[in-house]
Amino acid sequence: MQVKLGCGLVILAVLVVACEQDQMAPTPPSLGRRGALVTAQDSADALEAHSGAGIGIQSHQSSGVVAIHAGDMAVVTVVSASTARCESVGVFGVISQTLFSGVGSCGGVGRSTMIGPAPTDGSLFFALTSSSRSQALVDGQFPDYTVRLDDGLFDADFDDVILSVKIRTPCPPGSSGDAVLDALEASVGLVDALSTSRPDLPPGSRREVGGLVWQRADGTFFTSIVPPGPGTTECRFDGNFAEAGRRPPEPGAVAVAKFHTHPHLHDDPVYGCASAGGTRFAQFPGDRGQVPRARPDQNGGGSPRDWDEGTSDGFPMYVINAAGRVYRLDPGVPSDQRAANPNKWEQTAPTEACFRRPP
Amino acid sequence: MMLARALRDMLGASLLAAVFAAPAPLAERPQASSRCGTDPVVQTLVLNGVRRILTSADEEGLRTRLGIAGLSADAALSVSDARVCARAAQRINYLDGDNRRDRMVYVVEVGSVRAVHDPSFQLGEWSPLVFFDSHWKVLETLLAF
Repeated sequence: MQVKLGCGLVILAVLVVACEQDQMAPTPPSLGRRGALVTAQDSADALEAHSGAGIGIQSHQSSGVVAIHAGDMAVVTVVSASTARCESVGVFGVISQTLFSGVGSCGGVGRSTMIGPAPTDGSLFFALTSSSRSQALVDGQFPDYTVRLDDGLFDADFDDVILSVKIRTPCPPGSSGDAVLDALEASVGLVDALSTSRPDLPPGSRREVGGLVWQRADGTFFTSIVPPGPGTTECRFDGNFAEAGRRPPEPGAVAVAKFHTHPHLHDDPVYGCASAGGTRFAQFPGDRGQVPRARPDQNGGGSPRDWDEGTSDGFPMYVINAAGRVYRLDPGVPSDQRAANPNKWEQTAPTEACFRRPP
Repeated sequence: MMLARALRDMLGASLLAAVFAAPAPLAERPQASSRCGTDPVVQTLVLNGVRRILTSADEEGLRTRLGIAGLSADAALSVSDARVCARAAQRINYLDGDNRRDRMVYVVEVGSVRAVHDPSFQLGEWSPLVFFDSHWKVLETLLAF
């Protein structure tokens, strides 16, 4: 706050001096109470201060940083890459490390990593470490950010590498009792998929989202999104899990489970449901035909197709619905035992990626 | 011309022979034509599903819309009447857009409302439970299974 005020009100020379003094201090800017963090887009000089303090990217011109509290983790995912080069991505500040190598023309989209916990309150600065002229812009607000990296060459379009950065407080160890849900990087992936399904929009504007859970050789879990097929609606996910499973986002990663979303609450109208022989059901609001209603917590949290086809390859299927309930559908459960599915969790809070057994 | 007439006579005779030799039409077969599903697991699933609707607190709105508020779980009964199942199958055929003669349905009656389920009727990724009134008009479709 001190920095923001100081930098914003340049009227008094005393404040300008104070601002400069703060910038030189190692403590990063814009850290307030939890939940009120702001990006430091308005304090571009902060990074220069850090760079000058020996972080190691002397010519870095980032105008954006991400604030993080002591003890919090950051899940960083490569959302897209639009560069002809093969870049490396790093983070500096209270956590300094290389995040990804080989991002850009050489691939890397969809890769994910988790960093932290942060040793102190502070800031994270992202850069293409393969470019000495790397610049960054940060969009979003605590706890979810989009970091746009530019290599500083030719156009400054800030789309050479785009990262999603999600700051999360670690869940209490073993809080769900499920290995995947207790892995913050994977549980963030599930919650993020639900968010992408847009359950906050009216029925007819939502869409099921699906993906895979992967396990690295070190035992950690992460997720990737499976591209939706043309038949994907809010009534069905039409992605090709099998094909996606043959392409690990990281070398050595092994697919261990699938997941998809049911972006409805109990009794919500659901559009886009088609049957085999055409349809008598409304495909969008205002369309002629019947409008079915959702029962996302029935049948053990999954449709017969989720249970049958979704688990026929031996993988469990995680289903997260708009109420933040997660069901794990295990392979081979007979249809008369599905309604009593014991593998059920609920989100501890809408903004958290932590799950617990229902009381 | 002569050849054409000879062929027509031959075909006509064959057709007649086939008609007389054929077994009774499907509609006249007593049990084989029943469209009532017989899998006890599915039967129990559907019956329990409807009974849950009658008793569950979160289904109050649905009970009101269906006009079955106040009925107890015992009011839900599995139907084995072939005529009812045949009509139900016909209605599911219409909804599915697929006129299948072998469709088997599970019907549960609650008052004047009939709940119908056909596990092979896929709607999106779901297999719905459809509620009809006494005139077989659709009241509600639930993505319940």
